[in-house]
Amino acid sequence: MIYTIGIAASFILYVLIGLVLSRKVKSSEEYYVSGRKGSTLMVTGTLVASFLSTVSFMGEAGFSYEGYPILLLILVIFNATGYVVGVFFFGRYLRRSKALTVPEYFGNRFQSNKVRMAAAITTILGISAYLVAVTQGGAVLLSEISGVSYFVALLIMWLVYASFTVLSGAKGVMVNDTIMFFLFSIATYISFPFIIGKSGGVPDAIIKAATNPERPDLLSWHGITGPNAYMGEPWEALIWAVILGLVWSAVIAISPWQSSRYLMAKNEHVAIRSGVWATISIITIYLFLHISISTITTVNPDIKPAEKVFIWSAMNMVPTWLGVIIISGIMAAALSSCASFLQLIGSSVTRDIMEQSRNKTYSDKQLLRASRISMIVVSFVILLIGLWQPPSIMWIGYFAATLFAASWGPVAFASVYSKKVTKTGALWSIIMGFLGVVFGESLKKVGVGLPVYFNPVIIGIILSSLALYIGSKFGEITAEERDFQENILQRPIEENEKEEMAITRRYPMYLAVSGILIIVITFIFYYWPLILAMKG
Amino acid sequence: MGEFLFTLGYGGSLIILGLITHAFIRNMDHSTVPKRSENTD
Repeated sequence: MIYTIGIAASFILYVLIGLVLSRKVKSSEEYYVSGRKGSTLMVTGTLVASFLSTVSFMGEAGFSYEGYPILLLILVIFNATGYVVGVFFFGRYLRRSKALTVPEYFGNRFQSNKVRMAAAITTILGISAYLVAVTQGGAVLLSEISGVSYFVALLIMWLVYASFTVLSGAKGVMVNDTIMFFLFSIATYISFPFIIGKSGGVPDAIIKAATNPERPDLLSWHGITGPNAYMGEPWEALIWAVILGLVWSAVIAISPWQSSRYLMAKNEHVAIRSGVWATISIITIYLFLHISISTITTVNPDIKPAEKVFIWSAMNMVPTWLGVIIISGIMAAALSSCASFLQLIGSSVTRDIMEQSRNKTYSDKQLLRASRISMIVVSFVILLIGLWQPPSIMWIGYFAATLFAASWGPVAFASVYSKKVTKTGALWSIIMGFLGVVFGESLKKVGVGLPVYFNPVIIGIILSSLALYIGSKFGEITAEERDFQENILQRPIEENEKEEMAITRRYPMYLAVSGILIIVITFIFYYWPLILAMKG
Repeated sequence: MGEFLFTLGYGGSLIILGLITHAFIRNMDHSTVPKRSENTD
């Protein structure tokens, strides 16, 4: 009951914030990109909150519990680079374009409505699938915690995230995302000593986990491998982690729900700083979460389904007040992603599809009203799909997210750096990348086994790159395209550039100091106990 | 061995990203110099 009260209280807070901020939304720029006034804290909050969801706290936590915590962290090494790579190679240029949506950027860059439409349609299809998966994950959790039926839980989830997103747009999403970011970060950090303590303390908890006969190799770098395990050979496990890590890095760098957050940044320095803090946050949250999860295997090795491991620990291994924070934090992770996804889909439907296909320009007021209406309609469709489709958290989440690495990856980087890419190349690159992933996933669905290095995303990236290269042999590059590219390549100098630069210059040091601290923490809570376990 | 490399590599990735960020920011710094000198000249 206490967990339900905690969740209900947090839900009410989010809706109230949406209500209050809706009064401050006066223009489409405020609704779409929060007036481009986001601070470092807010942009970091929304970057991390829209990235972490039930996929992280349930799907990946379950994967870790089943035998792969370190392998997952190896994946995170590569995936977290996406923020720094993303903001320097794509995000800051996207911000300079002053677009309201990412498809709008592609459309303007290639002076092509077709490119914009293709980017918008992939956004809507990919993110809708992800939104359905995350909403369902949240609803399954809510239903189990509160005892209400899955149908009612899905309805409550929908009502909460749709209400504050429709009312306040990016403004409310950004504020709520930041609160949610704090909630699940606190839940992860504070639960760490309690879970480790309950499992036997340091170093005993880790020693027990490393020598647990139920899960041999749990804490080895490759996790549980062998003929009956999910991973065949250690080298296959490593290739899997590196490839998926790089794919996720691309997702973080260019996917609409991550790169669009830079459009909200107050200036370019804020975008860069947020990228740095988001990297540090992801690396730290994952380390604390997955070391905690690995020790839970020694207390209860039979949690089924494994996806509920963190929830089980919240209810059985920590004080009630912390359990409430953890459960509300996991719900917050789900809601924050749902809100960002809905905001992006609604924006694309109105701005990139409706406005463009009707070939008319809305006034600011019309755009604001049309955006709210399309968000209501979209959220309703998502609700119906969620009710109709059986829940599946990790698979759909991974499929929908990685889709963007293939469909948008090559064209996003080329849009900034290549002077040879034409609109024909860009269009076919987006289409072929999308179809490549869908084709690869379909092969898997009909039982065709693909080797780890031939993941559907890799098929998509190869096809997308080929289409970009071959397609760019056709068509001309217009003067407007060249001007646009030249414009985004010029760095805007801020009013107080000297002061801003002085702050930004400290950020490499922040990364280095955090790195040293993380090495020390990893040594104390992982390597040292592991050495003791090997000696024992 | 793999575990030791992971211990160093997990936090080490942040140090490497720090170096990359440092290089990018130095580049940005250089690119602002001509503009500033234009204004002050």
